[in-house]
Amino acid sequence: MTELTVALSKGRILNPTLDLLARAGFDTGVVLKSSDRRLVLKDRAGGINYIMAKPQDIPTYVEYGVADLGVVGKDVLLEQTAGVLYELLDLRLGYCRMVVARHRDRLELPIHFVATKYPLITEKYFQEQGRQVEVIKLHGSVELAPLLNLAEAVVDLVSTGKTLKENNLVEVEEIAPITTRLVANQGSYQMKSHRIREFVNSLGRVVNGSHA
Amino acid sequence: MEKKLQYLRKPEGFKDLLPREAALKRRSELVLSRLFAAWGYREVVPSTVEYSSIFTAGMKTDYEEKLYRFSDDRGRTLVLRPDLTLPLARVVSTHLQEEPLPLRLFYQGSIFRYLPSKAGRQREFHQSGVELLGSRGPLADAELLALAVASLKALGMGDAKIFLGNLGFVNSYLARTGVSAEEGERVKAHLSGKDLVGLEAYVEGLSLGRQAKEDLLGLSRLKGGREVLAEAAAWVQHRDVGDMAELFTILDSHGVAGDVLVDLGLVRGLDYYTGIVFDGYTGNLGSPICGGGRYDQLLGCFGRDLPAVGFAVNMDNVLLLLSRQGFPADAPSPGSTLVAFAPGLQGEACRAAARLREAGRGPVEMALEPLSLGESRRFAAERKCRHLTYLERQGETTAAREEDV
Repeated sequence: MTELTVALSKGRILNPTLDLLARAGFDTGVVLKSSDRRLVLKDRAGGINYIMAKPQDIPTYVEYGVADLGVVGKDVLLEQTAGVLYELLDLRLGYCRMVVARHRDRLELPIHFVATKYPLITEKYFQEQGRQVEVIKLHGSVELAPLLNLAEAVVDLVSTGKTLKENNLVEVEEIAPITTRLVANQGSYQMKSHRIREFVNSLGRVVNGSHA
Repeated sequence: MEKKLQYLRKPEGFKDLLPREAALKRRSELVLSRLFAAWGYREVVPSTVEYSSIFTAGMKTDYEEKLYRFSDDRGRTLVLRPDLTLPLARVVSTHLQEEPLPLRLFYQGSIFRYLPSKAGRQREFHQSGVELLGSRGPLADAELLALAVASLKALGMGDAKIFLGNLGFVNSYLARTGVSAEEGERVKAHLSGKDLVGLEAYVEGLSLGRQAKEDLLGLSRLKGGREVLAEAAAWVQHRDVGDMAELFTILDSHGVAGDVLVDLGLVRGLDYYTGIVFDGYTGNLGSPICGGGRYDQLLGCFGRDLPAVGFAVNMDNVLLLLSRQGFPADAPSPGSTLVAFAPGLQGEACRAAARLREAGRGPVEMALEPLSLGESRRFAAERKCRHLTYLERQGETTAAREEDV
């Protein structure tokens, strides 16, 4: 059997991903049983290798052919500058939204600075509308920026909106809805097309109820 | 970090090929140029610099934001060529008017694309490719496919496969589902990047019947062996399907039908393709090793109405694969010889080296100063020479001592 190597995002979406794989009939015991430290796991019977990686590295592993498939959030895909990746399936996991948010007391201030962990998405979004802003890249706690007068707006992922609320921020624009995607590189998509199609169909049946 | 001398810096996206890699490139290019010549293709070396208009006017390409631009002394915009097909089309439309058709041409060279920089991403790419101009039929398509298979085999990639689509088929398939021309273009844009998630969302939003929507989504699943053509024929009575079936019959005669698979959802970002399109893949490379297709309208943009079909081998991927495999063992080098000499015998050493080179026994290099026998043995070993020829005096005469290192 042709082996399939699938890169899984560690973190927030890992458990929902494993749950989906299990419902699609894949043996995820090998992943669940391992200690957190092992990064490459083999399901010998199913002919699948799993690579556990940081979400931001998944496009790289897949693009260079180290992994045939990757499970990764659309936010990561939008933010990366890698080459061609094929988006085969929306796994409809980890639903959240990329939004512009502002301090609720200062909505009328013009936006000069936007703080974000997603500089490419932010730059592109404002540029496409011809709005001039300066993008400030932060690595965490973006919601602090308006409180500290570092920026008049932030671009960030929200799921429940709780963090925004706690920091007196309100969503003013939605940039894109974000879900988890199954991606492939061009080579694997062709050379392993039969196995990939089976894999996509198995997951698709669970996701959609009736994927052919 | 210590501050490095500024003149040691290299422009991002460009790299130097060091001797091992350069030797691989030279050898691969030689293999391909011999193969292309054996099939009757003649080499053209188009200019590296072009006016930007040939890449931005006429045909719709996605080059606009990827060009290295500068200007000549009259302020006209020059570019480093981002592909070799358009320069070749210009050459054929200007210089080769008198040549009998079909024209068979090949090229080997660099192309330059100003892509967003990210650690190590390249902006200069090496290609070896062919163009067959002046014929429209399946025989020409088959020749190109057979030559593509032969190229990959000659480079030692026995497991490579070619994936074949047809834009003529895609267009009539789309038309049959009832989408407008504009909607069809959007569908093709999604297919060309295999954005199947985006495609599904887009198709869901179209005002079409359920069956038409399923047909649009089904296009990317029309892939596999040649039996897919029979399946496709049931969907669309189109001459392109018949042509593709005929094409496979000819590929059988070329002995390469087993190396070619069908992918009818294959669409290319470049707008100039009109008929067959194909990509080649091998091993676990994430990106194609070669690609090409038919572009019957392109030459018309240069004022010469000629059908054409071509492909290029991505030499950077070839080098990557070959260097991962280590040096191919097909042409074992006999190992080089060091010619060293005792004081006063440099003239004899020059003549001895000349004789050895003439005899064609592999590379011969010379010591550039007199050495003792012991020194020359160490020197030969250090330089990984296989043989040593040491010239020394024995009484009145000069003797050549030959040994293996």
